[in-house]
Amino acid sequence: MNPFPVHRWSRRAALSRVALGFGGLAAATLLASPAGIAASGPTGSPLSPQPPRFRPRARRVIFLFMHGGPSHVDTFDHKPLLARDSGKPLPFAKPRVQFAQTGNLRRSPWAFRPHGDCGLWVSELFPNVGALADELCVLKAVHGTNEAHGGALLKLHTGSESQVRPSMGAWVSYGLGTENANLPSFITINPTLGHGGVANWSNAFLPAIHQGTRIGGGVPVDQATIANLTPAFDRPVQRAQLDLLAGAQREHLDLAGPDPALAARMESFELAFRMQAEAPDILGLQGEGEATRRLYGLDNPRTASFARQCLLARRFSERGVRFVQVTHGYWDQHSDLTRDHGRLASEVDQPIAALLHDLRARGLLDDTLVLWGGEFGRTPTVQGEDGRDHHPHAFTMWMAGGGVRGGLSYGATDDYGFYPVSGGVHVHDLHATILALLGIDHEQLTFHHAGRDFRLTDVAGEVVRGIMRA
Amino acid sequence: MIPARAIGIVALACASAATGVLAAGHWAFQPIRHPQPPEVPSLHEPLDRFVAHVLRQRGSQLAPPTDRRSWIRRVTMDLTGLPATAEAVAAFVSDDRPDARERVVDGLLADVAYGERWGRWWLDVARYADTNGQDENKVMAHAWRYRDWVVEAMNTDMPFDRFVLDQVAGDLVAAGEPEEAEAIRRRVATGFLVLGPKLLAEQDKPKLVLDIVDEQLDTVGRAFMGLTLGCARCHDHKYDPVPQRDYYAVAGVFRSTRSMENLAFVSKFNERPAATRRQAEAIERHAADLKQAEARLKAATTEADAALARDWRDALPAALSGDARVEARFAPMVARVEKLCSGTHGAPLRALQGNSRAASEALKRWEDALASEGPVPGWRGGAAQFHGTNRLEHALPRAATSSSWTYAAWVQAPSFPKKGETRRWLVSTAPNEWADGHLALVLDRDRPGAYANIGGGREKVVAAFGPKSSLQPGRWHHLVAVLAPGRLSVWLDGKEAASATAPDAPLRLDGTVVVGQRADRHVGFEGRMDALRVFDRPLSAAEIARMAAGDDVPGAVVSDDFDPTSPAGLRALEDREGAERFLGKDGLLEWPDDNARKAAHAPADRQRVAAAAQDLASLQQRDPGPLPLALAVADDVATNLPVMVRGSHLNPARDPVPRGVLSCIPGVPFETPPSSASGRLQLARWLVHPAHPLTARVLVNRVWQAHFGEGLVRTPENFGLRGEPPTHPDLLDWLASEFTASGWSLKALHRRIVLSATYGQTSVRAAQEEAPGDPDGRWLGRYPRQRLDAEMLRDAILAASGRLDRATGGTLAPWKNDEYVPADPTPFALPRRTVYLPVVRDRGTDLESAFDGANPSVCVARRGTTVVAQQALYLLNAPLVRESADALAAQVLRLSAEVRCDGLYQRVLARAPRPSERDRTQRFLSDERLGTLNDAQRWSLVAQALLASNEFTHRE
Repeated sequence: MNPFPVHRWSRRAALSRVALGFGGLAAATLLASPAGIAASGPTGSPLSPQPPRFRPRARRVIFLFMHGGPSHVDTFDHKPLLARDSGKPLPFAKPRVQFAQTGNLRRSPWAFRPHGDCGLWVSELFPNVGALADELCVLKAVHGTNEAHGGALLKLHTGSESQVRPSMGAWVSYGLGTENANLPSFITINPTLGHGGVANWSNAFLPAIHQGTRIGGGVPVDQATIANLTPAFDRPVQRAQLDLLAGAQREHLDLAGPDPALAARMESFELAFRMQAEAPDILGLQGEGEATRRLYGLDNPRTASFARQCLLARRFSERGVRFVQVTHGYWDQHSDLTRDHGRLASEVDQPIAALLHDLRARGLLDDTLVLWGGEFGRTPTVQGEDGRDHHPHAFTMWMAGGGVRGGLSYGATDDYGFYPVSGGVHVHDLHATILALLGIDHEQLTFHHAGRDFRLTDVAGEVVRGIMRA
Repeated sequence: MIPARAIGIVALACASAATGVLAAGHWAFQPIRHPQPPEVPSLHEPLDRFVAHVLRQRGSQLAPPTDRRSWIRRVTMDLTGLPATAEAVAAFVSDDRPDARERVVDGLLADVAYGERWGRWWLDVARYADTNGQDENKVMAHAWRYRDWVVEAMNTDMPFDRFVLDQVAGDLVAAGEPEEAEAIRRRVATGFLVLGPKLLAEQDKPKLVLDIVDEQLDTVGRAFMGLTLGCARCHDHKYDPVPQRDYYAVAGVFRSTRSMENLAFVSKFNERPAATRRQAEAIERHAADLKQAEARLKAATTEADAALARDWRDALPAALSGDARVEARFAPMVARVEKLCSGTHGAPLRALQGNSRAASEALKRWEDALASEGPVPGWRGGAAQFHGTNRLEHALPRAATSSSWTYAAWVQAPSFPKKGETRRWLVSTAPNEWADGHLALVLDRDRPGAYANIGGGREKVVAAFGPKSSLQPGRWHHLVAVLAPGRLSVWLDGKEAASATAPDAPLRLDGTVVVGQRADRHVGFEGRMDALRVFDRPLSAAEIARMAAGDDVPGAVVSDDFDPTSPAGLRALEDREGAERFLGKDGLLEWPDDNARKAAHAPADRQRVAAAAQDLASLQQRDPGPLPLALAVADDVATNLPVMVRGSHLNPARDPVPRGVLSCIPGVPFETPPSSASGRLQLARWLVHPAHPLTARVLVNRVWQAHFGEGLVRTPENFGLRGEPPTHPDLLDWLASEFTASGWSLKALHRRIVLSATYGQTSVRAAQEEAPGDPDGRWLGRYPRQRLDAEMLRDAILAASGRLDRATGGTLAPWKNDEYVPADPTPFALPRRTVYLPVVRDRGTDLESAFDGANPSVCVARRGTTVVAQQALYLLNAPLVRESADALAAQVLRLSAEVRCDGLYQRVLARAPRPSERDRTQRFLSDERLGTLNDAQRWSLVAQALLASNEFTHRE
C-alpha cells in the first residue's frame, strides 16, 4: 500500500502533528480531534469517524437552504386572523430596527389545508411536501438577529454575522469526521457567492480539511463540478505521470530524511487520484433509473435544476458525506410575491418530496437529518402592493428524519405570525439541536484558537429536546 | 428583542480569579531587556550563540551548514518570494569570495521583489482586500494604493515605527509634511484602518458604527501588539488584564475617527483624495478641455443635423403635392419635428418619401387627427393625450421647497390597469420607485395610488392606495396625492381614499416633474389628463374638495390646463418615440443610427464633425483618469464612549471613559489628546514608543516565524496570558532591542537572520536520528523544511516556466468603485505576481483555499500549513500549472534531444538531473501508457511532475 519506504521516524511523534484522511494530512496547527471526543481510527485522522458523545439520532445532515427568505405565513405557518384582518394595521408595535417600512397586514394569497394524520396546515404552495406532513417536524418560531440577507446568512451558517467563524457544516465535519475517505466531509451544492459567499461554508480557524467543498455556484447546476477535478488526459496517462512523480518523491525523501509532511503529500496525490474517479461518478448521476429521475422531476424543466441538487445530495449522503447543503433561490419577494413565491415553490416542492421519499425507501431517512428553511421569513405586513419584507423575528424551518418527531408542530407565533409566543428557537438553539441530534454536545465541541475555546453556539444555545424522538 | 449576548465576542471559559495577579508578572508586559549573548566557542553572531546555547543545554548542537545550492535557493525564496535562477545558483556556487553570501543577500534585499514578498507578508495582518466581503461584497477600487504603499515601504526599508505610525495616524502627521506627495502617501497609509470587512447593510446603524470601531481596535491589537482586545467589548477580558474600561478608552479614539463616508442603507466606506495639487489641477484642466471638445462636437453635429432637417423640410412640399392648404395644416407638425431635431434626437434621415404608401398613410393620420378629433376634449377645454410612450416635463421653480408636496390632476382613461398588469405613472419627480426622495401619483388596478420613497438615504417606501374599482373607465376623475410631514394620502374626487404613515423627510428634487410616464420612459399612462397642479405644500381637505368641485386653488408651482388646445398628433410629437409612432417609422420619419446619419451629412459638415470628433478622441487618449482616491480616515468629532454593558450599544453606562490606552502596559507614556482630537496620533506614538514592550517583540517574532516556519513565540497573534511563552526569551528580547536600536530597520533584521549559522543549517535529517525531545523543532537544531505558501507557489510556477510578468504596482481590478463584485471575477489568470491580483473577500481562489491562503477578512498572523487533496488536484489539473508545464515543454523541445532533461531540471530545480532521474524520465517518455501523446504533451507531463514535486514546492 505505502508507495514509499517506511522510515524509522517516531510514529507517535508524527501522529501528534499529522494525520491522514480525505485530503491526506493536516499538520501542526491542527488538533487531531475535538476536545472531549477521543481520537479513534487506525490513522488518527481529523476526518476519521469520531464516536459521538451521546446517543446519536442522525449520522448526517442535508440542509435545503432557501436563499432569500421564504414567507412563513404563506407556506407552513397558517394564520386565519391574518386573513380576517388583512388591510388593517398591525395592532402592536413593529420592531425597533426594520429592513424597510411595511404597511398593513396582508393575507396570504394561498389557501391552507390540513395534511396527514397530524393535521398540519400547509399552504397550496407545497402540495407534495404537505402530503408528507407526518414526516415533518415544523419549527414555527425560529428567530435570528439580523434583518439583512448577508448578516442573516452568516448568522444562520456560522452563528455570527460580524465575526469570521466556521460554518456549521465545518463544525459537524470537525466533530464527526467523514465515512468516506475519498470524498470531502462537507459539500455545498450551488451556493450563493454573495451575502457572505465563501464565509458561509468556510472552516475559518478550523483545520482547512473541514472547509465546505463547493460544487457549482454561479453556473447552471448541470455544469456544477469541483474545482480542478477534471484531468486533461485519461486515467492510464495520469497513472503513469503519478508513478513518475512518486519515483521522484521517493528519491527526494531518501535524501531529505524522514519527514511525515512530505510523506503525507505523496499520499495526497493518490487520494486525489481516487477522488477524481469517485466524484465525477456521483456528479454524473450514473446508475439512477428513469423512475428515480421522474420521481425527482429531472424530466421537467421547471423542477430539473433543484431535482438534480436533491438527487446529488442523496448520492453524496449515502456515500458517507457528513453534511450536504443545497441552495435554492431567490426567495426575496419585496414585490410580486404571488407570482414569484408561486414559481419558486413549484421548482422545489416535488424534488424535496422526492428526496424524503427516496431517503425513506433506502432506509436512510432515519439517520439523515433533513433541514429546510431560509435565512429569515417575511413580514405578515405588506410591502408595496404585493410584497413582503425581511422578517428575522419569527419564521418557520422544518426538519425531517434524523430522529426528530414527524408530524410535530413545535412552537407558535402570534395571531399574525409576527413574533414568537411559545417554543422560540433562536439560531443558536437550532445549531445546538442539530449537533445534539448528531450526538454532539454543543458545549463540548470546541476549538482552541487565539487564546480561547470557540464553539458554534458561542455562549448561547439550548437544545430543543421536545422535538426528538424518544 | 435582540439579546445582548448576540453582540460581539464573548469568551467561553471561566476566568481565572488570579488573572490580575498573573498579569503583573507576565513576561510580555515587562520591558524589553538587552541580554548579554552567551559565550559559545566559534560562533560570532550573537543570534547563533543564543540558539546554540539552548541546544547545548539540551545536549545538542546546530546541524551542519546546508550546501551552497540549497542555501541560495532558500534565501532567494525567503527574501523575494521567487525561486533562484539556475544562473544565480551557478554564480554563487562558484563565487569563492569571503563575502559572497553578503553580496547575495544585499542583492536580494535591493530587488523590488523583496518588497513584493514582504509586502504580502504584512498584508496578511492588515487583512488586505479589494472588496468589502461580509454581507455586501462591494468593490473598494482604491484599496490598491495602500497595498502599493506597503510594498514601497518595504522596499525603501521605512523604519517600522514610522510604518506603524502612518497606518494609525498618517493623516494627522501629513499636515506637517512639507512635501505634498509624501503627505499623500502618509494619508494613504491610513487605509489600514478602513480596509476591514463591514456589515454595510446592518440597519442598526449605531451598532454598525461600534462594530467598525471594534474591528479596527481588534486589528490594531492583534497586528501590532499580539493582543485580542475584542474580547473586552462585552466584559473585562477573561484572560488578559484588559478591563472593559480600557476597551472603551481605545474605542473612543476610533469612534472619534471618520471611517465611513455615509451610513446609508448600504453604507459607504471613507475615501480621501490622493492627488497632488498639480495632479488635481491637470485633471481639472483636462475635464474642462474635454467638456469644451464635447461641446464643439455636439455643436458641429447639431449643425450638420439641422442641415439634414432643413433638407427634410424642403422635401415637404413635394410630399404634400404642393397643396398650400395642406401645407398650412402641416406647419405645426413641421415645426414640432424641427424642434425635436434640434434637441438631443438628431435628425430624421429618410424624410418624406414622396408618394410612398407609408408616408401617405401617416399624412392621412395627421389629417384625421385634425379633422375628426379636433382638439382633445378635456375635463374643461383641452387636455393632454398620453399613449404610454409620450410624456411632458415641467420645470420646477428654484424656490420650490421639498418637505411637503401635492399633485392634483383630472384624469380620464378608456381602461385602467388590471390585476397582473403594471402600475401606471401619472406624475412623479424621480427616475423610478427605488430612487430615494421622490413622490409619485400612480394608477393601479382600477384605483388611484400614491407612492413615496423617502427617508434620508434609507429605503423607506410608503404607498397609499384607494379602494379597488373606484375608477370608472371613460369618466373624468380628480386625483390628488399629498405628502405632509409623517403622512402620505391619496384623494379621489375630493375625498380621502387612503393614507399611510411616512417618515418626516424632504424630497429630492432635480428640477423637473415628469407627467404621463416614469422618468425612465417606462410604465406610461394611456389616457387624458387635464388641469395638472403641483404644490410645494400639503393641500387641505377643504382645498381639495374645492378643486374637485371645479374651482382652482392658487399658488401652484406647476400649473397646466393643456390649453390652447392642440391636436392629438401634436401632443404625440412631444418626443421621438411618439413622433415615430404617430408618423410611421417607414414613411415620414426615421431616425437613423449615428453612422448612417453621419454618412448623410453634407461633405463639409462631415469634415467638421470628424475634426471635432478627432480632437475629442485625442483628448480622451490623454485622459489622466479620475481624481485618484484612497481609502483613508480623518478625525471626526471627538467623542468619549461610555462602557456599553455586555457590549450592547442599547445599554451604555452613565459615565464616558476618557480616550486612552491600555492600563496593563506600564511605563509607556501616553500624551492626553487635545479635547478636539481623536487621539489616534497619541495612540500611534504610544504604540511605537521604544519602551513599549509588545510592538517590537511581536514584529520580530513574526519576522522570525516567516523565516523558520514557527515564531520564537508560537502564538504570534496572542502574546497575552493564554499565548505560549517564548522558546528563546533572551533571543527574542535581544533581537527586539537590537531592532529598535537599529532604527527599526526590517532589512537589517532580515540580513542578520539569513546570514546566521542557525538559518544556514541543513534541513536534512539523518535517517537514524530520532529527534530526541524535539519533535516540533522548537530548539532549532535544524532548518525546518517549509512548504511554499500560496503566493510563492504560484509565482514560482510562473517564474520557472518563464511566464511571470514582473510589472509592478497598480490595480488589475476591472470593477467600478463601490459596485458589487460581479459573479465571475476574471483577472486572476494574468501572469502577474500574486500580490498584485485583486483580493476578493468571500470568493476565494482555488489556489488560496487549497494552499492555506490568508483569510482576507481577518488579521492573520500565522497561516495554516495543511496537506489536503485539493493541493494535489490543483497541481495536477489547474490551468495555471498545466499551461506553465506546456510552456516549459515548448522551451525544452527547442533544445537538442540530449540536453532536454538537463534543460528542464535547470529551469525548474536549478540543478542538473541525477542519473536516476535521467533514467526515470527516459522510461516515462517511452511509457506505453502514454499512447498517442506527442512529444510536447509528454514533456509537459514531465515538467508538471517536477512542478508538483516536493523539491520544487518546499523551501529546504
